Amino acid sequence: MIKYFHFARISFGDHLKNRLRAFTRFLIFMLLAWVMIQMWRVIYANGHTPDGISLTDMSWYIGLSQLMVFLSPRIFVTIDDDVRSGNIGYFLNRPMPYLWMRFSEGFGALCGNILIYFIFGIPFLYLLIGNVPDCGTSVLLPIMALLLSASVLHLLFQIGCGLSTFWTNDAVFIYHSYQKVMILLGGMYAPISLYPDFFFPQILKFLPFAAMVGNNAGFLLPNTGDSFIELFLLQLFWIAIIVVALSGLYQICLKKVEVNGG
Amino acid sequence: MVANLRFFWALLGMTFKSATSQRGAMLVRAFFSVITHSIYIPVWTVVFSISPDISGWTMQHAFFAYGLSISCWGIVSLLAFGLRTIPEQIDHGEFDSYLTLPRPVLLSAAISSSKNTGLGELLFGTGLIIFCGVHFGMSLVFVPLFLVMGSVVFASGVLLFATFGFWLKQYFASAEEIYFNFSLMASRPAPVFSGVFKVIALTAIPVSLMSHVPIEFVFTHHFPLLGFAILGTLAYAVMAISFFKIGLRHYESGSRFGVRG
Repeated sequence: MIKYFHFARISFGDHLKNRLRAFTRFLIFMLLAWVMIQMWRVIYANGHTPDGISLTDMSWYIGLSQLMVFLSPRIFVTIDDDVRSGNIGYFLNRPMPYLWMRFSEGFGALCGNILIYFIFGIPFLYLLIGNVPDCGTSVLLPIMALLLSASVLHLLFQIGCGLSTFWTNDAVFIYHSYQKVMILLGGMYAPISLYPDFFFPQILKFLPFAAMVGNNAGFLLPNTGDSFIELFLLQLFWIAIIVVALSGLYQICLKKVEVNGG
Repeated sequence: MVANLRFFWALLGMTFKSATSQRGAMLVRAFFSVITHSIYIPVWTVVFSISPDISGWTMQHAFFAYGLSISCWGIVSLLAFGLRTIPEQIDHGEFDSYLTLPRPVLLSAAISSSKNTGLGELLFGTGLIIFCGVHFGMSLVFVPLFLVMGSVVFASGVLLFATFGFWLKQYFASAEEIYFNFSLMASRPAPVFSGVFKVIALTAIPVSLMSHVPIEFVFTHHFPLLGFAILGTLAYAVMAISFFKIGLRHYESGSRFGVRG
């Protein structure tokens, strides 16, 4: 396990050292959060207030949903590059599985992002929204914990997208598809509880997309009836499923690797 | 100028020939691209089921804006994908080969590659625009002009942000994220952009010129507005190209040794 720890540690340091990358991503997060929160402000100003959800809570919901997407590094780009350039051949010689090496690197960078976004992102949201959630600041702590495990799940999905390069030769295109499914089924633009009945919101909340986005941010909304333990266990369940699926996928991918040259 | 244009068409033809040589892959990607982008339809259906309009911005505006922005993304991916890879090419020292060519470096770098998902994006975007015309009765007369304008704005935005790669190392991942969100912003409701952000959306990141202004023109037929948008598009393109030329002077050759580990 210690080798994975060192990979994560080095990646953590490297991620924090690249200030430009961190700054650019944070700038994009601020812009997207601002646009989405502003959209809901306009909706509320027009009198279309969803039942029982204040503008403050809705703004926090949207802001935290956006924040989740930015916590994980774009690890699928690295895997895509490794596969297409053939560099994966160099990594397969190492005494550790490529899959978990990249995961530990991603987790290290994720910890770096956690530091940045929890220290600067949440105060930014507070300044933008102008108020703490209606149920107080204490609700933010369990949400932050849920966001961390949600980001691990997101990271695993990204690795899955990255491995798809073996067949599609383009992980970016697969990631964009996954991202759009997450926007819809995860409830990034609106809480799942507000979805029309034909979307079956009661089923959507058990899917991995809601476990990553809507359920966590939705923890601050009134009348959701979810407990922290339930949401956390749901995330663990999906993490376990995806880990098993990724391990199987990785074995299939290894059979597709063709190393040429000397 | 004529020689450059001839070179442009020849290069475009070669790039297309190369992209369409894998017809199966192109069609599969185009199909999945259409499916992927279709997801935005239920997304906006959800938002407008909660609020029938956003300060006058309705489902038809949202679909038209998304159609325009995704078509422009598709056009740029098909015709000038090289623009998006400029930071990567700079980092890998791949500009050396363009510098040896007797034609404009930018033209060679921009049209040297094409992304075949662009076909699906263009098909989906134009399909959505035509749907708006048929279903909502929106005028489609100026759509070709909007697509050209939007593509120029988007290509110029990509070029502008990509040019920072001449000064910043390992910038391509950040750049790709900027391009994606540039296009995404263009599909956001226009009433959301107010105050200082309206100014930004018309100048530094002119997403409004891609979708908001054309949509306003469709409903108002206010020709000075269209004139302003065309002038803004041209000014932005000139600024992006000038910035690229400044950046190119800072290019250091990629003649370096590589280390693999």
